[in-house]
Amino acid sequence: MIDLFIWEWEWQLPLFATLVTVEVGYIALWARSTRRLRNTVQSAAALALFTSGLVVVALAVMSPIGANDERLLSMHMVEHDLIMWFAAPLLVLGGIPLLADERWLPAPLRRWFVFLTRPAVAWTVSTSLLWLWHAPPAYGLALSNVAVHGVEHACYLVGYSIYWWPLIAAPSTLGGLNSSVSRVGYILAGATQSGLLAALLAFAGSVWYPHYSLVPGATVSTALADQRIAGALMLYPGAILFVVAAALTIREPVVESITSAG
Amino acid sequence: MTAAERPVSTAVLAPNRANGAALRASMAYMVAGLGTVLLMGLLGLLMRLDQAGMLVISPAWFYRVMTLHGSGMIAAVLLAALGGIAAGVSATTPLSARALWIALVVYMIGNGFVIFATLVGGFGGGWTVLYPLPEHGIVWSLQAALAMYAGYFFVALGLLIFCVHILIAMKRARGSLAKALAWRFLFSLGRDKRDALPRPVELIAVVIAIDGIAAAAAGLIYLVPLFAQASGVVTSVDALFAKNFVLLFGHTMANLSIYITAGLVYAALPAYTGRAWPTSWPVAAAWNLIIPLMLLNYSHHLYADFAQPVGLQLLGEIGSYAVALPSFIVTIIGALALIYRSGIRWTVAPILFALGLWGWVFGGLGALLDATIPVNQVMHNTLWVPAHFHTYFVLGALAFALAYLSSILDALSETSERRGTRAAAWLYGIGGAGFILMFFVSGANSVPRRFAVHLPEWQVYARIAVPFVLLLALSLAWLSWDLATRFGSAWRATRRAVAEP
Repeated sequence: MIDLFIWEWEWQLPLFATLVTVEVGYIALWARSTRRLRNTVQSAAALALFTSGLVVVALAVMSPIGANDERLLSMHMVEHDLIMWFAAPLLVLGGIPLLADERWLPAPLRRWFVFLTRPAVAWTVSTSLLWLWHAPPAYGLALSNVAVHGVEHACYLVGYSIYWWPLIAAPSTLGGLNSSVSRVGYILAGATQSGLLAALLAFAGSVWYPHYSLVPGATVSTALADQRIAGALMLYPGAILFVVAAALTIREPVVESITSAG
Repeated sequence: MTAAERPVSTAVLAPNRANGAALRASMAYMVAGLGTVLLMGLLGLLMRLDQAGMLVISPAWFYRVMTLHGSGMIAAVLLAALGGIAAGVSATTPLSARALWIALVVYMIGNGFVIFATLVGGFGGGWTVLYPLPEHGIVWSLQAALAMYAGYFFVALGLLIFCVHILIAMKRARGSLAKALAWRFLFSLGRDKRDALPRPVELIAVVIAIDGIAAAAAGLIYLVPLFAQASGVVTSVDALFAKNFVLLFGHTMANLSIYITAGLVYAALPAYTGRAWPTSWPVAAAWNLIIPLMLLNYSHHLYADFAQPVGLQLLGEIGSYAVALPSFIVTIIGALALIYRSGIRWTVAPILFALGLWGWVFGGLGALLDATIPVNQVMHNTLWVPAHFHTYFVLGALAFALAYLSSILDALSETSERRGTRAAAWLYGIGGAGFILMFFVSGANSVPRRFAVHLPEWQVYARIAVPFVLLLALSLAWLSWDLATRFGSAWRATRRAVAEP
C-alpha cells in the first residue's frame, strides 16, 4: 500500500517567487496597456485569466497533487493535465490582449514570436516537448532531480502556451488561424498526438517508469495499474478538452454577400 | 404546378456564395470520409489476401483489422454521406458552418478512439462490440474495450450534434418540422399545397436527422450501463438489452449511410438529365414511411437469439421487407425514369449514380433474403451477410458519395474531369461487382464470416476475389486522384460568387 500525503502541500519557494514575479511583471504591462485597450471589462478579464493561470500552476505543483507526483504516476499526470490544458490556455487568454499587438516587442523577440506562433511550429514544439519528456530516460531524470523536474513542467507550460496561441488568437492577430478548416485540422492534430501517447501509456503491457514500482508499498502490478489510470487521465479528459476547445474557438464565418461573378 | 410552387432540384446544384462556409465544411466531411474509406479499404484488402492464403496475418491481428475495418467503414461512409446531404441542403437552407465543424471534430475524435482501441489497445471484438465479449476479451484489456466504447460515444455525439443542427435549421427555414416533412401535403393526399414544399434533399435530410437522433440516442443508452459496469456501479448488464441497443445504433448508422446517399441522387441527378425531380406525393410518402421503418429492421440480426420476443422477430422481418418498398418504388424507379431517354451525358458522376442504383438493388435483394427467417438461420453466419452489405456500401453508398462529390466539382471546379476517368468509374463497377460476387458465392457455399483462419477449400473464392479487389483499389485510386486534382479549384470557388442557373 502506497502512503499518500493527502493534506500535504509542498511549498516551493523558487517557484512561488517566480510566479509572483511573473504576476507583478504582468500587472505592470497590463497597467500600461489598459489605456490602449480602452475596454475595462476586457482588460479586467485578461488580468483575472492570467492570474488564474498562475494559480492553477501553483495548485498543480504545490498542492497534494504535486506533492504526490513522485509516488503515483496518475497524480503526476493530473499535474501535467492541469499545466497543459488549464494553466497554459488561461495564460494565453490573459496574455493575448497584451501580446497580440506585437509592435511594442523588440525586433528579435518579435521575429521569434512570429516564428513560434506559426501553427506547424507550435504543434511541432508542443508535440516534441510532450513526447520527449515522456521518454523513460527523460522522465526518470526528472523524477530524480528537482531542478530537471521544474524544467519539465516549464517545458509543458511554454510548449502548450505556444500550442494554444494560434487557436485562441483572433484570425486578424498575430499567429491566429484564419479559417475554420485550419482550426479543425489544428485541434485534431493536437488531440491525435496527445491521444496516441495516452493510449500507448494506457495500453502498455509493461511499466514505462520503474521509479513508480520502487516507491515504498508499490509493486510492478500496482505500478502498471497506476500507469493505466494515468493514461486514462490523459486520454479521456484530453478528448473532452479538445471538444470544448473546438466549441470555443471555431467561429461562425462572416456571411458573405452574394455578388455577381465578374 | 409552377417552379415557384415546387422547388426544382436542377436549380440548386450550383452553390452560391452565401452558403460557401457551410459548403466548405460539407466538402471537408466528404474528403475526410472518403479518405478514411481508402485507408479502411486497404485493411479490407489485407483481410482478403489473408483469407486467400496469400498473406499470413495472426488471428489476433486479423480480428483487430476486421474490427477497425468494419467500424471505420461505417463511420467513414456515413461521414461522407453527412457531408453530401449538408452540401445539398445548404444550397437553399442556411446551415451553421460552426455547428458542422464542431460535429466533425467530435466525430473524428471518436474515430481516433476506435483506432487507438484496435491498433494500440488490441481490441478485436468486432464492430458490433457485442456485450459481454468486449469486457471478457482474452487478448485485449478492459481499457481497450472502454476506449472502443468511448470512440462510439464521441461518434454518436458528433452524429447527434449534426442531426440536431439539421433539424433546427430546417425548422427555422420552413417554420415547423411538419412543414419540413411536407405533412399537410402528405396527409391531404397531395391536394393541400398551401405550404411551400421542401426539396427532396431537404425532406430526406429531416428524415435522416430524426433517425440519426434515434440511432445516437440508442448508442448512448447502450453505453451508459456498460460504463456503469466498468466502474463497478452495476454488476452485470442484460445481454439481450445490450444487443438490441447496439444494433439499433450500429445497424441504423449503416442504414443511414445508404439512405442519405440516396438523397444525394435527388440532389444531383436532375442536373445531368435536365429533368426536375420535385417533391411529389409518392416521394413525400416514401420518405416519411422510412422514419419508422428504418428503426425496425435492425432486429433481423437477432433471429438466432431465442430469448428475443417472437413479436420483435416478426416486426424485424416485416420492417426489413417494408423498408425496401419505398426505396425501390420511389427512388430507384424514379431515378431510372429520370435517366430514361433524357439524353444524359455519361460522365463520371452519372456513371457512379447508375452503379449506385444497381448496387442498392442487388444489396437490397441480398438483405431481403437474409431478413427471411428460414434463410437467415442458414445464411446469417456465412459470408452472405458481408456480401449484401458490401454490395450496398461499395456499389451503393460509396458510389453515390463519390458521384455527388464529383458533381460538386463539376459545378465548381475550373478543371474538368479527365476523359479517361470515365474508364475508372466503369472499372470501379467491374472490380466491385467481381469482389462482391465472390462474397455471395462464398456465402452460398457456407463459408463462415468472421473467421480469421480459412480452410484451404474456402480459399479459392478469396483467390478469385483478389484480382477484383485490386481492380477496385486501382479504380478508386484513379478516381480519387482525379477528384483531388479538381478539388482545390472548387474549394477556392466556394469563396467566389457563382451565378445560379
